[in-house]
Amino acid sequence: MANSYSDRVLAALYDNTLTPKPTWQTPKATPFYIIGSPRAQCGKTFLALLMADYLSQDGGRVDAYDLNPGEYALATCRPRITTQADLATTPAQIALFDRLITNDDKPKLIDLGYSLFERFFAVCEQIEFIEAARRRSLDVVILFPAEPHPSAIAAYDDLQRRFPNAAVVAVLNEAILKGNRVHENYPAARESAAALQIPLMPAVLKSYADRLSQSLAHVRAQLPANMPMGHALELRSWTRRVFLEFREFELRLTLDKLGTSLRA
Amino acid sequence: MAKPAVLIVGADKGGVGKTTVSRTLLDYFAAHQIPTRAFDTEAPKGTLKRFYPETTEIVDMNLVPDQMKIFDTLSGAHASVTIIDVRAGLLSPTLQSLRDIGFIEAAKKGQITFGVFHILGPTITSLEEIAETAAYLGDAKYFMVKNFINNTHYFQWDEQTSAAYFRKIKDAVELTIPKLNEMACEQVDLASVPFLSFIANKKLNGDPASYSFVLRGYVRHWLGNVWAEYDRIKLTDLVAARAQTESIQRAAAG
Repeated sequence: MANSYSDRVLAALYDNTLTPKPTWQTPKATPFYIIGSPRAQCGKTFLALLMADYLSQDGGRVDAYDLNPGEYALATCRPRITTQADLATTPAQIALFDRLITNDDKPKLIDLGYSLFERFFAVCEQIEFIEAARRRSLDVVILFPAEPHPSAIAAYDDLQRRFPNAAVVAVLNEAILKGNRVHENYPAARESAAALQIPLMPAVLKSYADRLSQSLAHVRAQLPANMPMGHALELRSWTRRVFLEFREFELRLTLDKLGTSLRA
Repeated sequence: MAKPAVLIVGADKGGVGKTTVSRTLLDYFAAHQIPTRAFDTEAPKGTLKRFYPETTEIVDMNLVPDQMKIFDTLSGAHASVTIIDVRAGLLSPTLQSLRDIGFIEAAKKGQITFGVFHILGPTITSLEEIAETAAYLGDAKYFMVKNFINNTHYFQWDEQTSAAYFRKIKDAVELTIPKLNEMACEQVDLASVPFLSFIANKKLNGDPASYSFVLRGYVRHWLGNVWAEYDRIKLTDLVAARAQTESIQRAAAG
């Protein structure tokens, strides 16, 4: 955050805000999801896949980035919309962030591997990425898979403190929490950032879903042929429930922004 | 009217980032809207001039006409700050020349504000140069600059030894220039633009450029840390442009 006169000068130059753009040149707000946790095996990639499928339903376009060097599970499941990325070198950082900062009206999504969690947000802080993204009408949302482990709770708090301009949202995945009550450990900074709930997907459905080559969004329109009807209907119902959760979240964010702009 | 200020930037050896420091100073004063001119002593080609062609002149400090060009015009110059980027290895001889022409005396009498930014290398030789420099400083403000931009390790310095050298100069102030991402440093150099222009994504002529957002961010973060050092030592106060700067800052804050 700019404080001194020197800081303000540099901030203005960096964001080219010295000459304000007219309203008609301001791009419309585009969602930007970062899904990450410093811990492995927390359901992060599954959440990223769900969100990618949600964003790409009904012909929607989305750019997904898989930041899991050595694994690239999302890129394997959704190759057409996903780019493999890394942060190891400056050229790799440029290849990623210079693309991310561009608002081309396509929602963006990052599946952030646990091994790159700290590095990613350190770079974000250094180059003031989230603030710059906000100025370019990219609505940054950090989806954080909640767990009872103290390091996860601390990381969530840390993200809220470091990035007040991003919506940091806990995701309560029943399959990961296994009955643990963690809601109190993940307070929302504002009402619109209330935790998302992902219901438990029965194991038999999960095994089918993992083998699906198509987006879960397609299941809503057409039941998979290679699945027993009962399971297919159950998968459709489960998908609808999750997508509804995402939709309500988007509406909360929109209403929050509208309220903020009316009060301004 | 503020008295003219002369800031000398020098080092005992090349490659310690002396001209980089001069560039950060020029950008700092530009941001604070303090009129500044610069003299690049790396004659004939210069090293500073390609970044600041409008405000920099290449001179040879060994030539009397060039000495006159700098010091005879101090009072009449539009710029209230004069930065002299001294060729590597010539800091002490330059200060000796200034003493010989009466410049150090004028500074002592309060006619001129005089500051020396001594860019230190990692070897003991640099520390020894401090002692040599001390003899010519008079009442100059002395800034010892540790420049980590090149990933320098000041490992040859133990605390006691360096403290002993630092104490040789009264009121010496230590400054730290942090490391800048190597690729960012290289790209700014290739673009041949001031750091501020690179951050603003502009070419030297003011036209929009297409520099990397990431590299611009790294340069901005680094320059912010460098300027925080200049803010800490109240550099604008030193050059006695405080009244002017504050009114500009008030206007900028709206």
